[in-house]
Amino acid sequence: MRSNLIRGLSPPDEHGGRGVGPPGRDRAATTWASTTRRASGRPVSAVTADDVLRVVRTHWDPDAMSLALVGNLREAGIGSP
Amino acid sequence: MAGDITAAALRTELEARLGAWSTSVPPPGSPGAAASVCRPRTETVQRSLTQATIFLGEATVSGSIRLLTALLVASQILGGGSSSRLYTRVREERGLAYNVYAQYAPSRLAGPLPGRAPDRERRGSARRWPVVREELIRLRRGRVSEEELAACART
Repeated sequence: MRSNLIRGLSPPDEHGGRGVGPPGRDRAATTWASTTRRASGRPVSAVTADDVLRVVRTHWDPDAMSLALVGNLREAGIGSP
Repeated sequence: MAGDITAAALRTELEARLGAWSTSVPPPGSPGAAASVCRPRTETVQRSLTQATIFLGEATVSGSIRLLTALLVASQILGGGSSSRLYTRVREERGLAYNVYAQYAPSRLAGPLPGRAPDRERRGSARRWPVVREELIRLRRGRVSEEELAACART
């Protein structure tokens, strides 16, 4: 059973334990760009480098991120299970 | 509510029956980021698995179309495929994991940004997540090339 943290950090299409592979894509869309446009309503080509840097600097803070590690942590030499 | 009644008549009936109710609790405001992933913390789960998995992420925000699209493009640049920064650095250059990716997942309340790195070699785990963190910092402090933006538009 997944913890709340791991569940919160998992992409929505992985909820329910339907797999641990790369994120699933919208099967009805042919490309990532078209999927993104459908999801956001704005074409990817309209995004500028300044747009990307602005949102990353404002909303993605590595110091504010949570970390979850699952596996044979003793062998991996990480954490204190 | 369905039936042979108008909105005005329904309001009158409801106010007659429930209008005297009071509450000491203010109504909830607009939802913010999911509390479960908003406070940074570390969690370890010891399992006898052949591969270890690392999740790194936070709840960011839902917002304007301009903001959402930029976040989706940023996640694609960071870890959206075999030419992404994370894949190149973590797998191709360092050989620390068989796979690594980042995905911004917009939702009604907030969009978590999970970056995940299943292991190819378990002993690589200890060195892997600092590399992911370094790439996040590099993205925040660095620049985004026109080639990366064009690649997103073609993907």
